[in-house]
Amino acid sequence: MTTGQTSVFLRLLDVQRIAAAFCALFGLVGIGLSIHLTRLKFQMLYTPCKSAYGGCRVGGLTCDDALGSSWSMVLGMPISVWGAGFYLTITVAAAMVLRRDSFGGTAANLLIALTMFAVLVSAALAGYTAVALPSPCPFCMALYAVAVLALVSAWLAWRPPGGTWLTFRQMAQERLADALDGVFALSLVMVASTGIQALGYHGFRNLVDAQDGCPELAEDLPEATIHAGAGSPRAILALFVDMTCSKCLSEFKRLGSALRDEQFPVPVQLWIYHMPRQACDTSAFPDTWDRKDNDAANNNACLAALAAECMEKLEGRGFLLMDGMFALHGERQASAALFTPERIANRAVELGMNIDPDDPHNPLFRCIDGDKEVLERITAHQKYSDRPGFMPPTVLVYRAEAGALDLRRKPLVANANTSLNTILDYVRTQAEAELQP
Amino acid sequence: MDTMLKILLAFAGVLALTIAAVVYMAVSDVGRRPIPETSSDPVVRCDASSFEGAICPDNFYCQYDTCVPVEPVTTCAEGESCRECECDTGLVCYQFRCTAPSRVDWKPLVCEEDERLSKAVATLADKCNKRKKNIDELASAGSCTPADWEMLAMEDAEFDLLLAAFPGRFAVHFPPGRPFLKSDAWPSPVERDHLIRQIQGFRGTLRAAKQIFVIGRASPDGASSTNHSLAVRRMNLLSSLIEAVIYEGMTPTQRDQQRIRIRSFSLPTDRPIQPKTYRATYLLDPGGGARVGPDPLVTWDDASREWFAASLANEALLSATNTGDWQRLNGAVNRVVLVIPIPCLGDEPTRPRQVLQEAAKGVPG
Repeated sequence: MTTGQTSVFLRLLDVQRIAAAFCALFGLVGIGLSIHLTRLKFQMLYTPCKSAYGGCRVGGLTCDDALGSSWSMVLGMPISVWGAGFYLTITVAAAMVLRRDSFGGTAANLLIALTMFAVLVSAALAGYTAVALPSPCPFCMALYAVAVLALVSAWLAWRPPGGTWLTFRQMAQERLADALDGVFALSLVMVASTGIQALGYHGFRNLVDAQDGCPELAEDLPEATIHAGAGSPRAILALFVDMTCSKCLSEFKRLGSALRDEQFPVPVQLWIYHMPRQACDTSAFPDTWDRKDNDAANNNACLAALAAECMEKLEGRGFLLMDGMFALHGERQASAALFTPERIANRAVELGMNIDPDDPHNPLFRCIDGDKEVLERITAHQKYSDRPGFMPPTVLVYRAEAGALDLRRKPLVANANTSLNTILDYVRTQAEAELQP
Repeated sequence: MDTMLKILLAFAGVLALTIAAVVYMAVSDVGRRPIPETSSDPVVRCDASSFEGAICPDNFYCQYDTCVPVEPVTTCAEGESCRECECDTGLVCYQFRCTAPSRVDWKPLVCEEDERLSKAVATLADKCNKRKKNIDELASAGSCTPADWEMLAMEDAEFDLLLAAFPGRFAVHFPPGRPFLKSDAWPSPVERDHLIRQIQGFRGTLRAAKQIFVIGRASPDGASSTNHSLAVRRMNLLSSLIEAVIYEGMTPTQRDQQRIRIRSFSLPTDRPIQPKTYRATYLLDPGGGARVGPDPLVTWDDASREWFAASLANEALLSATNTGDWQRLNGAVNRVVLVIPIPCLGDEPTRPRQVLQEAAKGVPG
């Protein structure tokens, strides 16, 4: 095919309109992905028990880090709300290119400008993800790809091979009024779509309860010995943790800091419950136990729970040892267990426990190896968390009466997705609750 | 004079002074360490070309024709980084730390002697290394998560062949639909004991392993989600049984001080293993002969074991891929959990050869 034939063929093919149609299609895909991300963010914030950990999971990738980052909200709205508005604007601009001579023939220029902006923002977000986030979010990455594809199709719609195009200089000199017309119309689309989404987003907040989807608790809590916080609490937070889980580390730090900085609206106590995802007493669980997690077992989750309880029993410093053991997450080695008797004993010595870490019969190891009471207590914690299917970490916020749990009022359930503000609200609600006589 | 001009001149003056100071420091002796006064020490001459002439006073050595002092070598104590210094006498540099030899995880002899195994470990370490984010870690097959291994196994069509190099591998078979998804009624105590007894035959290999792959497969027929759940439940069961065997008689602290990492992952049912490949890879030696040691075919009772053994020994059946019997065998072969004890990770240092032992090998008699 000669050059002349090619150009005739391309003209007949009408590359500009096909490219604009593809661009509109990519815009629609972008809208779908953005709405999905908004839904995930909404669930994380307002119905945390319904939200899967990780926000979403595609292969080894999760949305958790991206949706939980400070960049996920812009002006009080999830960034995906702005994204959906922007992709709708791109779709409308692409549709305008399909209609010939829209905005005096400047629609293609506006479309390429919009898609370039989308790619620039995507590049900035991708850079932030690569540098600052442990795991990229699969749907966000799909959005970045959509932005690039939209740019390519917008480019073809602006400068179709074999066709003519309007440069930006020409646009500014000859058709500025038309272009401003287009900018105004597209801005209206952006403002209206974002506004409608904002109304819907905040409106739905009032229609849901943060307790939706939270596990139903059937029976009374078992005994817990590790307590921290105020002497006369008005609320008690029962924190269920597996010390090998990194979210449990974050939750422990978050609640510990809130306690230390007196962020709670009333005096509270933190009670520690253990839910290692490993059968500490193998005779108490079936071999096929579904909650078992090999990663937790490989990192000796039970050993950590036993050590914390034993330290509490022997020295009254279980909470401090937990703090020290959680710090070992920062020294994690991929090919070695997170918790070993040696590492834990060294932490105990650092806290002033008078033991020889190299002595296999030191008091701490004797307790870990042979104290049935401690083992039974941990097993009771595990079984309590097993039936409703708690995910580590889970927090139950109870009303407190005379320093003990007030079981007349149902606890409020929170997890790693629940924001600290929501937990503070739960504490206030429970503390101020009027009980029916 | 204009105020702005004055300010500019002042800036230029400060700049010139700064440049002059930098130049002065660069060319002068300021900041250089003073050379120690050695003029009081007489220069001791020597002759490095002969044994007698090369003798120097204590703490000196002969350099060409002059005795020069031996510079003290910076050494590092146990636990300190040995990236930029030598370890104290008696310590070895292990994973970038000075470590007592007794605490070093030396490469097991089997990984040195078995070339095929050594290559397989190096390949695993290399594959794992490509998925790692932390460049400071040594190339090791121990730093990948089960999710990494699952991806690697799915990407590599030859993964089964790679695993065939590991001695002590065995395969545990399950009846259809067992263990139940919603009940713990299977295995019964009798079946559990039967499984445990067979796994006990591999206790030595399992205990010597650095990590153990527990790879679940499921029969290719049926819903894939159900098959996946079954595979997970089978892996859970088997890792519990393996732990029961490995840590039998140990206290929790003894167990957790030497815990062997179990990496369990499942393979998709749309890539079933063919009975013929299964037999060659997991039941026979790489050379094609029968394996030495305990029988790698583990089943829930004697009758099923006999059926498997007979079917897998039947060459005609293994080739008759369009028959009902073959289909039945194919389903049974894929209701399996493969257990691969990995004796080394690829980052262990080789134990220094005992020179005398080596020499002794050469002495006749």
